[in-house]
Parts: sequence; C-alpha cells; structure tokens
Amino acid sequence: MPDLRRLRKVTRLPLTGAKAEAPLYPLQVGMPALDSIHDDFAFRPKGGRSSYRVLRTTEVDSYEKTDAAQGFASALRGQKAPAPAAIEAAAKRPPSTGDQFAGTDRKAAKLSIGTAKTQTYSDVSQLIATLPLHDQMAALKIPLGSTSGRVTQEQRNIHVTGFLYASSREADNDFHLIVGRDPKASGPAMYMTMEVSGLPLQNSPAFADLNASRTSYKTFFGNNLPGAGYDYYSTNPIPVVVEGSLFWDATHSTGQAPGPPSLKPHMPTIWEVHPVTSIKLG
Amino acid sequence: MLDQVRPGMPAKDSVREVMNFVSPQNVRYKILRTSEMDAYDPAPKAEKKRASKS
Repeated sequence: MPDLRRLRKVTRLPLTGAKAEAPLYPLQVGMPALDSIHDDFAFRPKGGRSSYRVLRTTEVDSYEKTDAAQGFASALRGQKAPAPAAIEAAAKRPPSTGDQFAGTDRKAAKLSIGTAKTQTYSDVSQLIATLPLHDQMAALKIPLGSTSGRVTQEQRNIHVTGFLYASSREADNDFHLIVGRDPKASGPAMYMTMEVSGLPLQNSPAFADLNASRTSYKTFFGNNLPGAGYDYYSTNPIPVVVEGSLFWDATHSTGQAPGPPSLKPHMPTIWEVHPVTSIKLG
Repeated sequence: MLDQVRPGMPAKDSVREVMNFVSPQNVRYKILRTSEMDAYDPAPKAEKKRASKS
C-alpha cells in the first residue's frame, strides 16, 4: 500500500509560481494550504545537527489588523494572480518590534506564572483531554482588563513533549507557537497555541524565566524568526519540549480564535500554554 | 454538540449556523453554514460600496 500522504507531489509554489526548494506533499500532516506559501527555505540552527525547512505563508490570525495582515489581504483579494512584490512587501512589515510585552488584555495573568506543581504530558492530545470545557470557563466571566490575574483553573503548570508545526510574531510581541502531536502518531492531528511571551518589566518575578525562554527560542531560529505570516515547519516538524502555565484566552472566547487557518480546524481549544517558561527545540 | 476533531470539520469559529437537513432519500444530514469563502473573493463590504457608486 503506498503512503497516501505522499500521493501528490508539488514542485512549484502555486502562489508565486516559483520552484519549490524540494517537492512538497500537500497531504502530509500539518501542511498549510499550498496557495498560501510565498517562500521556501531551509536553515540549520547554530550548533545544531539537523536542518529544518520553513514554508513562509500569508496565513495570519483572522482577527489581526497589522499592516502586514492588511497587506496580505489586499494582495490576495481579487481574481487576478496576486503580485509577488505586494506579497513580499506585506511580509516585510514587522507586526511589532523589540522584546517588551505590548498588549493589555489580561496582562497580569499573561505575565505571571501559575503556582501549582508541574504536571508532565508526553503528547499534546493528553494535555488537551485534561482541560476544562469552554462553557465552564466562559461561565466564569473572566475580566479582560490589564489587572485580570490567573483564575484557579489557570494556576496549573505543565511540561509537554510535542512538535512545532508553525509560528508567527504578533502585534503584542508574543510569538505564537502551534504545537502538535508526533506526525507519525495514530489518531487525529491536534494542535494548541503556546506563547513565547513579550517580556515584563525586569523587576517582575516572572522576568527571568520568560527572558530565558524567549532567548532560547530566538537563538534557535537566529535570523529566521517568523514575521506576521505563519511560518510552517510541517515538512519536518521540530521536536519541542515546553514548560509553562495554562491560560484560557478569554479575549477570544467568542468570535475569531487564534491560529493559522490551515490548522485551526484541528485546534479544539482556546486554552494556551501562556507564558512558556522553558523551551527546548530540536 | 459538534465533534471538532472529526475529519473534514471547518474551524469552529467559522460556523455561524447549524441546520438539520433531510434528503429526498430520507437521510438526515447536518449543514454547518460558515463564514469561509474563497480567499480571492471580494469582501462583501467592498462589493456593497462598488454597487452604491454605479
């Protein structure tokens, strides 16, 4: 029986017409829509043994209003083939700069670490299975203001082993990491958001852990950090071990949820690991 | 209740209406009406503006 995930091979990027660096298999687990890929390159982390392929896409969280997000939307809309220069220009617009956290919603919770003992999971689906249901969390009516701290359910700390499929940089200086299961695992693909946070003030109790995890993430990717559009690593998902606190994204409890459009149907929760307090990639 | 990890499901936050439908062969189906459209389609707002100008 042939591997059905390798049934179709694509050698050009449909969006730009450029030749792909290597064949792409759109049916492979965790792939972006082919027509969202505008760049394709490989990198080897400093001191690393493996190299990883990056599929740079026009996919953004659907609620984003950054210059880059609006640039992608306007370049893609219409019946004519989009101009590669317009896509490139949008991709170059940084959604944020620096390292300080620049958001306001639930800032106190996002920049704090839970108090409970760390629980360990060997698969993202095991972690997702333990999360309180959406309606239970919505009933808490968690305030969205900047001083809104962690509720009891968000005091949990976790250690989870998984694979990084995609990441992007957001307007508040957070990096969104889309972490999923082993691509060879049986059962459905499943992903959840884990956020390498923008930094709090240096006198914050969480500063040291958040700074260390952000440095670790940035060091791994070097000059290949994502911008506003999601970078996908799905051709060879990057092994990752994450520690952090669980956070329920009350801002998006109704309306559009975070996540890249190609993977969002497989993201069954708006629970996140936020902030990531430790990350080991590769 | 929708089973979101079922193959072929749309993003949960794109579903704006769930309808029951019975086919002429008397088979029951569920229709999930979504906000998803082809990426190249014009936004409905832009279309309205164009119409009002003409």
